[in-house]
Amino acid sequence: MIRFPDGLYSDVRLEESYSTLVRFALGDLEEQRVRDYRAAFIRVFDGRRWYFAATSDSDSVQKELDSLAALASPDRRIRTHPVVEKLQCNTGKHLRYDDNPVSGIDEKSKVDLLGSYFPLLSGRDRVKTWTALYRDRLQVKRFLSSNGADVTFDTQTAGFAFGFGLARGEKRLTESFHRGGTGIDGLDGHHEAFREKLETSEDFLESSMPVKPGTHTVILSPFAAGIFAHESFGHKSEADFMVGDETMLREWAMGSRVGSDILSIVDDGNVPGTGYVPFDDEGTRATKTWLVREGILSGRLHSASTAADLDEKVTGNARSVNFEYEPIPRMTTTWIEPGSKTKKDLFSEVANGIFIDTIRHGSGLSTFTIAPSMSWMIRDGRLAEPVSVSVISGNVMQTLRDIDGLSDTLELFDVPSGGCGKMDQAPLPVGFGGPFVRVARMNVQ
Amino acid sequence: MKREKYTLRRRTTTVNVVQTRIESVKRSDIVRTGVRVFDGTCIGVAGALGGYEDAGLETRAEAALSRGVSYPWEISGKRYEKVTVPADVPDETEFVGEMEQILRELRKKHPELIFSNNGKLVDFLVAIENDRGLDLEYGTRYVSIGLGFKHRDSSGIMDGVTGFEGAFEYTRSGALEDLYRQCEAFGKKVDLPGTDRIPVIFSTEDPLMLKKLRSDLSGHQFGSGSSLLAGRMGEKLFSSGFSLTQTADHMIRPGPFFDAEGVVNDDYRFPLVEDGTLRAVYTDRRTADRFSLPLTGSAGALYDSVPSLYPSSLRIEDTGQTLKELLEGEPGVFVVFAMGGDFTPGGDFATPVQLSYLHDGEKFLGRLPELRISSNVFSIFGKDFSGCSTDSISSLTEDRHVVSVMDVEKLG
Repeated sequence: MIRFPDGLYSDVRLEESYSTLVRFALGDLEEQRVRDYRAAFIRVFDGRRWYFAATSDSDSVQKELDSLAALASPDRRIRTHPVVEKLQCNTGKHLRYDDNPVSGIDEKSKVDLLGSYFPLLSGRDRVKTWTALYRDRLQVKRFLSSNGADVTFDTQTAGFAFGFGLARGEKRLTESFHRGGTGIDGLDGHHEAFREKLETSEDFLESSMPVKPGTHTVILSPFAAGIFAHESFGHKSEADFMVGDETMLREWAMGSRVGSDILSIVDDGNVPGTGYVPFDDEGTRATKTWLVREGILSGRLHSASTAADLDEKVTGNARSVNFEYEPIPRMTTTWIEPGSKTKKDLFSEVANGIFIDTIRHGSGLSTFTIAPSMSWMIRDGRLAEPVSVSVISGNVMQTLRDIDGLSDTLELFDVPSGGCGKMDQAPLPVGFGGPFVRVARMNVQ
Repeated sequence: MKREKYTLRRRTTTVNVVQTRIESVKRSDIVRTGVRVFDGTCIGVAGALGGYEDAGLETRAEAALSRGVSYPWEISGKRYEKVTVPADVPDETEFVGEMEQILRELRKKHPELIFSNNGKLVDFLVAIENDRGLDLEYGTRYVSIGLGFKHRDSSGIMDGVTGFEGAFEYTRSGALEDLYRQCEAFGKKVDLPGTDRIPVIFSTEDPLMLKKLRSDLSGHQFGSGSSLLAGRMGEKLFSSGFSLTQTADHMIRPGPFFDAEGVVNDDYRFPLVEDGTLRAVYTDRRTADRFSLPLTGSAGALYDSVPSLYPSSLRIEDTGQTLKELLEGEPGVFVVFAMGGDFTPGGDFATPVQLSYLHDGEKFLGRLPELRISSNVFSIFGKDFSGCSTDSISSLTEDRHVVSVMDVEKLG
């Protein structure tokens, strides 16, 4: 039973975390570990400043809470503070994975799952190196607060990733194949898709030439489009970047046009997968937030502090990367809504352009960048020769306005390794996706 | 059966900054312990956060042997070395007050700029000991202040970054000097010199600059044939002035003098590129054995993981000239913030540069518009490599500066 100090808002986030990691390199088992721990993050707020502590000793939570309280200045009116009033008071147990936890599956099954894909890599002389990774995680969090919140919820992810390096003469290519979800069940049966990926990568290595730099019409695959939405716009939606900044608030006022009228971008923590966050790390229930609706700026991603500062509603986006960190506004699952064109029509309307299929990474501030891995020219509406592209970049606002076509099917992705980075907090599991997205003009190098 | 214990302790006071004011203070003190057991064929590892019982951890590590992770190599032994790097930094009770003073000065001197992110006081210890008489320990304390900033009239999330990392000897004047250094030049807009090819200045600690070499000097990439450098050991691939060393010199920057397998190099360094010639690639025991390469002591590990190949700190050796001398009277593009760039698998390089300044070798002359720079890894450190400075613009750290001529153009 936790004793919350008088005159202060305080909360405790108790975490139980179970995770498995299996890693092979060139067929040799290099790592197999199970991590199982309990830890806690404690917060105290006196209306002026927050105080935080992280501990791996669950028995010392009360002691840590009392120590933080000693640093703060109590205020009898704390419950009426705008930040405290934004914090929800959810209760109950909301467990989705207690019938099918990854912790209940033996390690051998996970190793064998990964191993079932190894034969696809043998006999490929252009594949010089490869790694295989299986990762799962089950987290149960219990959030308690001086407001009376006492909510328990779980999240679970499982997935695998193969990374492979190809070489032929002077040419090099690094590619990957990954699948993820919320349990081990959906991870079998992707052998044909993996084989196709390997063959496509080998063909690309053989035939690709450097792209002619310039401005091109670009079609992004759903994977690339998801990364683009995340990097170019998602981070701008995280409201901590706006707090106290009058210029940004003016430029990013709700109701402003920020993109073409076919563009809508959504963030939703209710979607099962790596971005599933039923309650955030302040105990706020997940909501579906329209960040952009038909080109109009419609929403932001909030913590209680940012929501209070901007006088908007909380959205369930206050997340921490692990027990050592405080929650800050982060994305959950973020995607571009599909449009009305078939994929065939989207491509057929391009006389000359580039299709970006896979990417190495992306980033975005006022200028966004995407580092493509495999790309192809589009000529007269059809895929043509493969091209090697260093980076595509552009002004975010202009690029969002230049989106002129969206295919009609949404694909969402769960990536089992890696995640989103923001300041110190990385990697945070997120989901992302979109349809095929056509942009009229992008700078390609 | 041999036993080894790997301990990591990190005590941190973090002061989070929003709108150039302290928003929150965080304290954490986490000990992570791993026990490794070796039976001559395999390794078993078990870890604990915080308190633990020795016997229990060892029992779990022995049970982990059955997973079959091979580790037939002899572990390090017979060395006792404990180093605590002397540090002159505030203590935990002083640090919050110190950050308040720093932010007060920033608000007073640069009210046109908004600063955010954090300052940290870190107390760090790593130790490894085993049955073969290995007993190594490294401890240090340091201050890092990393702040993003933007102009009040800017509609961007962030216009630039400033600060320093890993200062053993902290002074407020030195911290402010590092933080202020570019703030005045930020307000003074300048244009590029007339040519397309301009000397570009990067910090030696900029991760983007060495990204391609960091991946392709991996012993695994090299040995498997997927590295650009594969099959080229002993060849002169770069400028005669370019030398790159795997370094564990704990007196220069925070970090242990041993790797996660307890390997300690002579002078805490292992040359990888000497005078432009490829001499070695970085390896751990598994990689060295798999590809018959020399062991360079480049293993990393989490507290509960099997040690594996990890890119250690790489140091570009200075070429005996100051930054001013390297520029030879021409101004250079001093890159502060270049996000989103990359190398292709073939070594071509391109990046947008969100924030850079014209620099004359001694001071910032003014802020340049957003740029795009491009080159190739063999040119950056080859024909276009001017050198690496002996001096640093930072008062508190040993960061130095690399100059290389690149294609530079305005973005947009």
